Amino acid sequence: MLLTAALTLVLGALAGEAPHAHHRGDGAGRFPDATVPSFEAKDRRWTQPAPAWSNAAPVLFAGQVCALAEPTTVWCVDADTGAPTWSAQLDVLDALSGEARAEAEAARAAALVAEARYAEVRQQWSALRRELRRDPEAMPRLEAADRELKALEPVLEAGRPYITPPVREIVGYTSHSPLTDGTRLYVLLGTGLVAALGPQGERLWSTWLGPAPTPRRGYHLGTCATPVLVDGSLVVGWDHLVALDAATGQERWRGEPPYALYGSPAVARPDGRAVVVTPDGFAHDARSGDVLAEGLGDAWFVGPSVDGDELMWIGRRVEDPRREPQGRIVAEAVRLRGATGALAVERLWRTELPTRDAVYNAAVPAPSGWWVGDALGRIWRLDRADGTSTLVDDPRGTPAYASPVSLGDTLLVVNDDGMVRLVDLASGEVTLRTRLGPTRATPLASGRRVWIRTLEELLALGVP
Amino acid sequence: MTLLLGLWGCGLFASVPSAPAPVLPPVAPFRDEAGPPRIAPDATALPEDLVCRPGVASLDCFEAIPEATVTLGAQSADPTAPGYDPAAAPNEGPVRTVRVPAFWIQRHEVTVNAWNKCVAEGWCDPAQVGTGLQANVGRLDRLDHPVNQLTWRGARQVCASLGARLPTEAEWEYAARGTEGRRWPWGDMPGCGRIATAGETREWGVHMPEGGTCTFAGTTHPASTSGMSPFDLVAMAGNVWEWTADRYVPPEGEAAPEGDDLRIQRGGGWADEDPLQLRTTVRVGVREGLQLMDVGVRCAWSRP
Repeated sequence: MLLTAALTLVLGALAGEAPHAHHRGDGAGRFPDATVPSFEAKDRRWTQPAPAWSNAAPVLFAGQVCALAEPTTVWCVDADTGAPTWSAQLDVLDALSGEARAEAEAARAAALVAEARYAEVRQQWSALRRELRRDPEAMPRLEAADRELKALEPVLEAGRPYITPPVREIVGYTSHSPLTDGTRLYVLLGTGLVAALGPQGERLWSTWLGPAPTPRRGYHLGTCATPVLVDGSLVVGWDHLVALDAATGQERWRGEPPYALYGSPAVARPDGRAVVVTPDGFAHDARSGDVLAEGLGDAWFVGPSVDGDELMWIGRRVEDPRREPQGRIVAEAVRLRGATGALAVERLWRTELPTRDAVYNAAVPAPSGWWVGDALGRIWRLDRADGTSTLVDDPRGTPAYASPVSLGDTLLVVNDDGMVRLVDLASGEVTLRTRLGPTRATPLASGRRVWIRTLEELLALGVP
Repeated sequence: MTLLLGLWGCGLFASVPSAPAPVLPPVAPFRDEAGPPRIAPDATALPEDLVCRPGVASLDCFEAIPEATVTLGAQSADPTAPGYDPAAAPNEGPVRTVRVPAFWIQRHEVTVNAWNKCVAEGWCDPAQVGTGLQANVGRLDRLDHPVNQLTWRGARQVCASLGARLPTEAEWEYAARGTEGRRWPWGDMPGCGRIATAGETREWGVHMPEGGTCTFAGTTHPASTSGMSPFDLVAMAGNVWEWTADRYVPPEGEAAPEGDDLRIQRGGGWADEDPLQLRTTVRVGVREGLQLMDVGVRCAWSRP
């Protein structure tokens, strides 16, 4: 018992474990107590192959590093040794029981059969459409194919909510990073399932939010907004912003207007009051969901970054879809105030970056600026005072989907192609360039450890 | 004057024939209590809010198309003759030169929003649009997408609710290819529609070809995005096929299927993977009552 307790203490110290209410360190991508590790292979503490790829950041939970794997797997390993501890498959049907579950299973089975036939007939339909150009006698066959498709549709509609249909590979079902408050591990999947798990993977509660919403901007590639934990609520950005009681999964409130955005919500505390801020610039009271402010900022693919009472949005802004369908890359910052009532909004600055390339990751605040990567792997620094942008590094690489993080005074950026860079946050100097495997998950750090979840493995890096 | 008239009689100044325009009976609103159409029957100009203006976003507005003498159609038989296109099907001919009087045509395909309004106002019969997985009507995230699964009758109704009509086939083709006879609305290079940038956003119902084949989009795209024709019209290729007023008459030697009248659809749709299917001269005859998932409409208007 004593030994177990001692080991737990030691492991906890090594891992620097503390309850996380956000992903990305303190929610802004900062790990202030973390030490920059060695990236040399010989200093690697351990490597564990992943069951499948995922974009979700790993999280520290009960002495373990827990991660996700496509399409519906949660898997955990010992934080210090990398030894697998448990894994689980999370099914939408987990949220149902009894007759409801039996009906859902039957609907799913029928829909799977119908889906295969639908795909076949749709191909025929397209070919007949093409044939009609040269042969009007294709019309009756086109009509027959059209009739069959319409007959299959009700079967598909009934069963599809329970199926995990293919999504575009880039987003998948596990792009939302898991969270923990130290007691439970919270997982949101692109199937709409939200689950709370215990330290050994025991299912504490699960609820189903419904099928993935079609995003209001961009193509329907899946969903990827990571929830936030705030004052006992797990707040999920789904078709709407939905607050669930973290202990029971019961819905506490549902926000308006609709959400259906790629970017993650963020938590700010102006004058101590918890508010949940959305990528499209709404601030909701964390207790009630009431809108306290709107029009704060706007970004297509990523949520706001928060530093105290200062918030920053960066991303695509499309104001004239006809003339500029790709829009511009706009960054803007506001300060929020107000412990009660409506929030007071102070607009700090607005700037446009000299690039049209998208931004897929959230910025990290530092005294020297807001730091962010773009779709071409470039690193930008935006001045805190006026948003003036500086191109810090331009490697002509691949996109950075993983958000950068700061380890003390050093920025860690990992690109989609596995390029790793360390940047001194004071000087802007790139102090290291190296390469790991292709990565889309934001790194995790604690104390003398950094964990990086590439598409194929989980690495534990340490200080030599 | 007598000399000129004489020369005219000799055929030296023979006039170009006007493009044929089918005469269709007027469309009555679906419900008796429907109000008047947006454009009055005796209007000699479009209401200001229906005229497309630079910098003003409107999914309902009309662009002016000037009168012109244009060459329509394509043929694949003779490379030296006008309208040669090696991909042309027999029904894309004959190549002919016609005079198309001035008219107006909507910049965008009719949206779900516009259809819903038409139904609410009593002009449109909701049964003229199909339901199910591929239907845009009924989906809150598709309000600015083109209405699809639309019958020819429904197309006439939604245009009539505006006080407009279906474009004739000649008007449609002229609007798509301009006076320079573009093979695709944007020019003569094959493509599936305009895309935004290299990278993630494929902002079109059919994507740029890779190895000559368009990537199947799987669905429509919002009516507001690009794919410009010479007259700044959007989505004259792809997104949804568009009904025209004309009846489809098979070319000589081709039999027509029995049943409902066939009406001409133009423009190609989101399900078309072959860029050649999206050329401005491609035409198909489809039964009036069919509710195909890739069919919609854009409306036309001209002074009475």
